[in-house]
Amino acid sequence: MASRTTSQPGIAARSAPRRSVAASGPVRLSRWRIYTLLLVACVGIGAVMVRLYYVQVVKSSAYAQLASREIEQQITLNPNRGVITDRHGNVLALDIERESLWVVPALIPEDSRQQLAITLAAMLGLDQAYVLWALTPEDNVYWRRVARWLEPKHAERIAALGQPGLRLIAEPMRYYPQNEFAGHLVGAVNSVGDGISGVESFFNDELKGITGTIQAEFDAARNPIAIAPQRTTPARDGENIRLTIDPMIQYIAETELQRAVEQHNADGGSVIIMEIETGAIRGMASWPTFDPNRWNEYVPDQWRNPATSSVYEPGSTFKMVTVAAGLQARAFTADTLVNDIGTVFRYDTALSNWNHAGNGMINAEGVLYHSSNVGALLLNELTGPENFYRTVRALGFGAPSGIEIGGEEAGIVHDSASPLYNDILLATNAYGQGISATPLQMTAMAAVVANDGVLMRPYLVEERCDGDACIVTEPHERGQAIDPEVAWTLRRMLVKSANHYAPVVWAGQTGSYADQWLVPGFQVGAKTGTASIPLPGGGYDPSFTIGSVLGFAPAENARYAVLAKVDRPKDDIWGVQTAIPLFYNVVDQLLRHERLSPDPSLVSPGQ
Amino acid sequence: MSVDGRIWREYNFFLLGCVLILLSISLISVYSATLNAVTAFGTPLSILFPRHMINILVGLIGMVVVTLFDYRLLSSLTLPLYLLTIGVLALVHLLGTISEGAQSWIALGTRTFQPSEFAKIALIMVLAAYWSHFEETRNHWLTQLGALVLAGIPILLILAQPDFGTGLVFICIWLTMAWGAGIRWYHLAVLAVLAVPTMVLGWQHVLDEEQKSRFLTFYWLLTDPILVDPNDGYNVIQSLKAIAAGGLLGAGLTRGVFSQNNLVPVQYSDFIFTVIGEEMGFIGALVVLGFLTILLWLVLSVAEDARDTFGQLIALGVFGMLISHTIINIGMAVSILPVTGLPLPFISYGGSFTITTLLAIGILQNIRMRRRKIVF
Repeated sequence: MASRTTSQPGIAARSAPRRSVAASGPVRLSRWRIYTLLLVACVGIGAVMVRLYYVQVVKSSAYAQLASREIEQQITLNPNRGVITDRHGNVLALDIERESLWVVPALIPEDSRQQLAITLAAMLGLDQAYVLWALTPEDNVYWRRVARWLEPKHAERIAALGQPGLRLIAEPMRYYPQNEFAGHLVGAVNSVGDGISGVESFFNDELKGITGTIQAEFDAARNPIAIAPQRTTPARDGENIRLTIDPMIQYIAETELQRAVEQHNADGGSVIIMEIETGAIRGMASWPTFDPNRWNEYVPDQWRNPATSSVYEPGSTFKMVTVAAGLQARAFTADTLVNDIGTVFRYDTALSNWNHAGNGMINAEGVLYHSSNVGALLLNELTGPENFYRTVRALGFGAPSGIEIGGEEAGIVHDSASPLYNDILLATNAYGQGISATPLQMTAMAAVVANDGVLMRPYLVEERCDGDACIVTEPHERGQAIDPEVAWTLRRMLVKSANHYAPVVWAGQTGSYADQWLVPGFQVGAKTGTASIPLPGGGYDPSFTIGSVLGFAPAENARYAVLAKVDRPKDDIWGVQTAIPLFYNVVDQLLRHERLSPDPSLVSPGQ
Repeated sequence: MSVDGRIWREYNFFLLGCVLILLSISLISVYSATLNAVTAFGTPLSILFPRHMINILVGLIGMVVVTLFDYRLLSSLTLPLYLLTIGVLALVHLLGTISEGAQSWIALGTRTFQPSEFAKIALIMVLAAYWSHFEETRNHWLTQLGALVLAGIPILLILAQPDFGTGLVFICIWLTMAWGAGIRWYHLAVLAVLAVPTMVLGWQHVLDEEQKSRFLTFYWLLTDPILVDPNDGYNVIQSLKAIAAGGLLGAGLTRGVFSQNNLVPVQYSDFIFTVIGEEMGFIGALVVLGFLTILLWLVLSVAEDARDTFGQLIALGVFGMLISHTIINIGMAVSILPVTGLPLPFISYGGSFTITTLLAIGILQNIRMRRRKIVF
């Protein structure tokens, strides 16, 4: 015992001698103090146990529900929208990634809010008050999207601001690299990713693909948890679409239309180039143009393609139908003469030629050649409403053509079976008034004449590809609208008609106002038309017209049906002065593009 | 002094058993917690499990080693140990690497060690030696003031790191030991009155925004959960949900949806109890709490039976360290205390702390083996 005491080292040892009760051992730790500590421990651990019981047993199911709601989620897998190309694979529409600006207002210091709003508003061209509002915190709002699809340079500058409250989130954006080029055909996609016009609208579901989902439990990094069963529906990318559009032909159509419209200060116009044998649309241009990248800067009416969605009264070009119907019904022959006296009265209405002058005894060819309204009317009375409207329907009028562009119109045909029919319509329809059609329907009708009477369904989509599996559009015959011999007869008449208008193009060069070859080296069939524009209150607009030329080239073994249409040219009341050069320029370049060799015998002196 | 073979009969095998059972539970839970987890940088945490085994092994060896000599030899080492600790803690300010927001680690090669963990032992030793030195006057106010200064220096250094949790543990160690050393009620009353302005000053000048938000988050969780910023309250909310998901019987080891999928933060250390709660359920949590309680009671019994004041106070200091870690850690996991980031004794992963606690148990066994009984 003693040795132990002396061997006690350090501080404790030095204290030993001073201990008053050293002999009876060290000072005891009070028992109650130990028990107090034990009590504290028991209370602390007891509290934890009670809490655990409450959380794990009493409230377990409520918490568990909360927990499973958080971790069990559905994640949407966005498919890529399909790519749209022209027939040679040049991209017209595709999805690209752009960054969108999101703001977490709570993370933006109050004193820098104003300054930031000014900076962002100036950079992005936004309203400053709007940006300031977006930067201001609000209950239950974690973040807001301020601007969508920033220009990369703007995104870079925003990232350089280093403001933690500004977040850049990549989002797919529909982009049209060629802007206005074929814009009406391709159409646009709205801000929620649905096509609103054109092919984008017509094939919206196919382009969009199928949105996939993962229904599963997710960890903090939004990765599906492996141990939980998951139900996955994979996303399927949208179909890629290749159009029938030939970029060269589309270019010809667009540039020539623009030139004509600008030269004559017209309101608009359309040029359609349709392949006769198949019905494929190789070029389709309309004015005013439409840039799908800026779709929201246009009024909704302008999203639509005027060539398929706007109807007009075709005017004299419709005389092709009148002649075709009569010949088809054998109501008259190519030699049947009618007496065009300039003005006739029907049902108390005076119906006249354009110049109120008569052309005397003329046959069907003369009706087309002189564009005689009275002649067409008289011929149509020979045909009769039943025969006439049968052919009108057979040529595809009054029904959508079936082209793959959203918002196609059917046109208005009040035939003899319609409750709105009255007898005067038979007379006015003969020269294309009181009936309306889309430019595309007119083009398809011209193609029938060139295609030995077979009506083809016009189509714009060459093929749709789901991965490597492609559906190629097969040309579709909608029926034999007129007999081949009727078509041949009509073609011969239309070649003469076309040559009759050649001086509009050539007189200045040849010095001759006689008939000549409209497109030197080729026989081309065409008919002009001056469509009157109906006024809302009835009657027709006296000062403006729609000038159009409808035809095909070459006349035999024709390649293309072509419509050139110019709306309200300001310096040309008949419209034909504008439309004929446009038709000529398009057809001339088209035939060069096709590398057809011109026939030297089909050239007039001086051409 | 000779090591008498017979003193091993006094070795507390209940205490050893308790520790071994808790360590086994620790191995299971750390294995499960690190099985699928990754750090924020994507490093798999499964590399921690073998390290954890090594830590435990080193700790167990240390635990045996410190029983081999009479603990009273340690009393001569206390002053240099204390000064060394103060020096190292000061050094942390200059060299320490930032870890989890607190500057408390010193890198040694590829491994780091946390001097504040070993400082706990040093503080316990120095306070025990101090009070046993002033045995006669140990409840005199001047003696208590001296102890407060001894404890205060490392506490301030640790709070300045800033490591609020460890500072709190140091305060608990001092308080427990002061209690055992017979601090008087009016001493405590005066200290409590003085603590109020200290806490106000501390809130205003010592705590950083991060720590303040932890307190506010905790306060709001209890009063008005709407105010809790989901980012700040994330850890607590996740932990609570995970524990609740465990229910009575738990999801089963390695099957906890939260624990296995990084939905619980620091699940291998600060939130290890969350893993236990989710995967072993209420029953498993009670088992862990039960063994921890038995262990704490055994620690107190060591204090009761110790042959001298030095031993008694060491045992009380260890008790203070273990109880504060246990209650703060679990209280945080079940949201009855704010998040302070302390490991759970014997259960959490953590090299310095595992070794420290096992060393402390070794010292307690040392005290136990040389308890009063032998004298008579």
